Amino acid sequence: MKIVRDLFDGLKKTRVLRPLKPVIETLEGIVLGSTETTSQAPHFLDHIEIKRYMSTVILAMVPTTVAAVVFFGWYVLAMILTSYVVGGIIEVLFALIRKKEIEEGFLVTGLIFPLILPPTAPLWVVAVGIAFGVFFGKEVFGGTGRNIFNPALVGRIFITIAFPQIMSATWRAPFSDAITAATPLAVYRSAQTTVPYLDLLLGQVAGSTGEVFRIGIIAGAVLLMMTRVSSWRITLSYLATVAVFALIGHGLGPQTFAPPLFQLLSGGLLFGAVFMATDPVTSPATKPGKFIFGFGCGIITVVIRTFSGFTEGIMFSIVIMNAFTPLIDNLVVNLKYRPAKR
Amino acid sequence: MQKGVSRPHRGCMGNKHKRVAGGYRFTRFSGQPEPEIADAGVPPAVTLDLRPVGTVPVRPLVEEGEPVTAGRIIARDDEALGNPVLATVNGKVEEIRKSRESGQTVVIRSDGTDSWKTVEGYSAQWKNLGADVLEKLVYLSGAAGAVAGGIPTRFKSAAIEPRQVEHILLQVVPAEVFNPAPSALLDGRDLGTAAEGLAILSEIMPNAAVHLVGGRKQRSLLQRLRQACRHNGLEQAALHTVGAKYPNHREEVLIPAVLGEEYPHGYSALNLGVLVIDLQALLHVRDAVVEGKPAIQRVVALGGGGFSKRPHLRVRIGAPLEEVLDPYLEQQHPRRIVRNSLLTGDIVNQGVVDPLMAAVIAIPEGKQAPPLAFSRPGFRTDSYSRTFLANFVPFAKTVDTNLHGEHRPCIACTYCDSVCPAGILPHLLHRYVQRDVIDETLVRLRIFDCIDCNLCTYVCTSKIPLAQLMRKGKEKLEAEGLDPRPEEVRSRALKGVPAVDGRPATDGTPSAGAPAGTGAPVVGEEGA
Repeated sequence: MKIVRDLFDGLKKTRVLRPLKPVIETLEGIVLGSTETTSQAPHFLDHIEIKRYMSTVILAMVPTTVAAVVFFGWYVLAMILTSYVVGGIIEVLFALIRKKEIEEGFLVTGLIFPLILPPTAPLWVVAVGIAFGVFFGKEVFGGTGRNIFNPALVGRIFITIAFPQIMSATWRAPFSDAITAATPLAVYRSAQTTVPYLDLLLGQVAGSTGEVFRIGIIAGAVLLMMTRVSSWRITLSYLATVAVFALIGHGLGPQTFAPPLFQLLSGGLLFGAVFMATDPVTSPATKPGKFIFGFGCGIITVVIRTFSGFTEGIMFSIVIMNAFTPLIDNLVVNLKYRPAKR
Repeated sequence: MQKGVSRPHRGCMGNKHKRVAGGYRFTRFSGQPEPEIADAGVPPAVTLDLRPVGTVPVRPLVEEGEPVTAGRIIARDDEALGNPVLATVNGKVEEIRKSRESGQTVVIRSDGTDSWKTVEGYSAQWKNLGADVLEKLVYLSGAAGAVAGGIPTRFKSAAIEPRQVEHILLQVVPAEVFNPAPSALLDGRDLGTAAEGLAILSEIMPNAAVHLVGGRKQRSLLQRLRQACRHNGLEQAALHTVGAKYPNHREEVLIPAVLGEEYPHGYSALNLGVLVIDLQALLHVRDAVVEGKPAIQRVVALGGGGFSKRPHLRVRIGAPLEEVLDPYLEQQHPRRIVRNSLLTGDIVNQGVVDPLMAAVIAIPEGKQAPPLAFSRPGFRTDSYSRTFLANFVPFAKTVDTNLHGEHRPCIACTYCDSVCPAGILPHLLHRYVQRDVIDETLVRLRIFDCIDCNLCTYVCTSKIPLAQLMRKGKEKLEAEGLDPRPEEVRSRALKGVPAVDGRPATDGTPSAGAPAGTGAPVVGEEGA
């Protein structure tokens, strides 16, 4: 313990390493924790910290991440590593430029990004996507806490538009090497047939690496809500809106609208509603705002899935609602806190 | 807006449980005060502040070198709002000095004897005494000074007159991390003594309704107390329970929750015609009237991991904490000593026992977190989030002064909004203050509803000193003249202003020293 502490003190004093001070301090913070104490009331503080908060999100993603590696092979691990390394370099560069410590939010972004890619995505695409997402989705706004859009989704949208062939036509089912363009949503679009729900739950269908093992995602959702790390309001209102809208639509036009349970269990909906829509930075902070946000995401998702050229609408719906977040919060706050009485 | 308080509903046994929005319950912390009493004895010297908390400075009535007896009044000013200061030991005045906060301090060297002078006129048959005598006993014994803001008597011991008090609210809500135990405060005496105290206050304040407020676990205690009140001729004591959440013991929360009244910013409970009193002050009142005992000592609960033994300590007011606490402190590690509350209290490592001290908390100072603390299961770590196992297993939790994390920008996790007892949005307000955008928007967002409970700072994931920033915002708004409080609150003219129906006068008449309602106060002969 003392040796480690001395080591960090030594590193911080080394002249050559001075430019790397933010990195060293971040590592020290991870290994040794905070050395700072309170100086006035309140004299003690809650043990929650950003590292714990973000670690809990990562913990919640462990089941679906492990399943992704099992289903699609070690290549998924290579994608995750690529994402962490490339995104990490950009994160560190910005930390050095800003002379601030590295922000832990990246640990979540860096894991989410490969999990929302097709299992066939080349590593260079992973690298380009995460670099774009971290740079334009987060750093240009000033880092974690100041960004407007979910950085992982910014990266995903960029490569979807830049490399449409790779991103839409080369899916793969678990434990199979056959390339297919047919995710369950695409199959419904063309043939109006659904996949057995058990296959959807267990992830035995084509899809993005992290979105298919839906039981694992549900377990993660339970953990996040139980630990108060994510808001049930967004996740549940998102899913409920999709279910209700799909139910009404399917009743009126079963040829156009997929049935509600199929909509809930296919595509990236669960992953998006649990891990991405709930990002506290880019979703509303007010409680009514969270419901509005979830409602908006749900409507846009079903509309895109049903009427647009894309078979899946999760990323667009969340990013569009991200853009509305300040407006929603403003609206709620202004309604709640009307002009002063006196 | 949410009122923060829902309609009371009747629970079993006819007790009313009041739900209060916001707040956070501090449970299962190790180092709770043990419910027994230890006597700290007579200190070699006491240091007495002539401007006890919340009142104006008083001039001393003694000179250096003068012998005094415990219980003798050494400072008193019947023209100004405040309460007399009593010598708390027998001995000689060693020094009278100017203290830092522009008041004066009297140091009395003790002769080691533990007797005291009783207050004249007391009687076990107090029901035969008139309200004037009761008030005099409560005032001259110093008991009226055992409540922040004072207990109203005809001697200007508080901002309002006794007849203007509409509600007396005895609160025993264990909302802090470490709370005094009622059984220790009673020290073997039955609840009849507390009931007598309430009966005496009702005699002094004939227009006041009596309310007993506790957490759910205090319900049976309060029921027995209500029974005892009936034996003392006090038929109408109402019983209420609230969640034992912090800060449900504060008058800003209790008055809206229990009485359903608004609590405008800048007012005190007394300005609203409510006397909020704790068990210890109540016993001071009773002991002064029934036994003639001056309020020269406090029972102080010792809590926290910095103590090796944690009794309730009976100790003279003015005794130096360093010496008094020494036998009880854990000697190995440095520690921080905090007055009354870990959430809002001052550091009193070098302090003395004061007339409003109810608890002293000692916690380890500068303790380091174990390696990779953020990734540990956390069996003993408290958190509003439920990310540690301590939220699910029944182990006792520990307290230290470490930040447990690094300062980061706000990620809008909104824990602060959820726990805020005032129903405002600290996460939003702090951003305005941080960017120095201090204007009417903050007033509209009700920044002045903040009661400085510091709970937002406690729960912050990014370790942002939210409450401190909001205080800064409030100060700047006041400096800019954007303070929404009525004039008489702002000028502090409420103090000593005759109130109308228990409420402060709103015509803004300047007040300096205007005698209150019943004519000039008649002050009895000094007890010394």
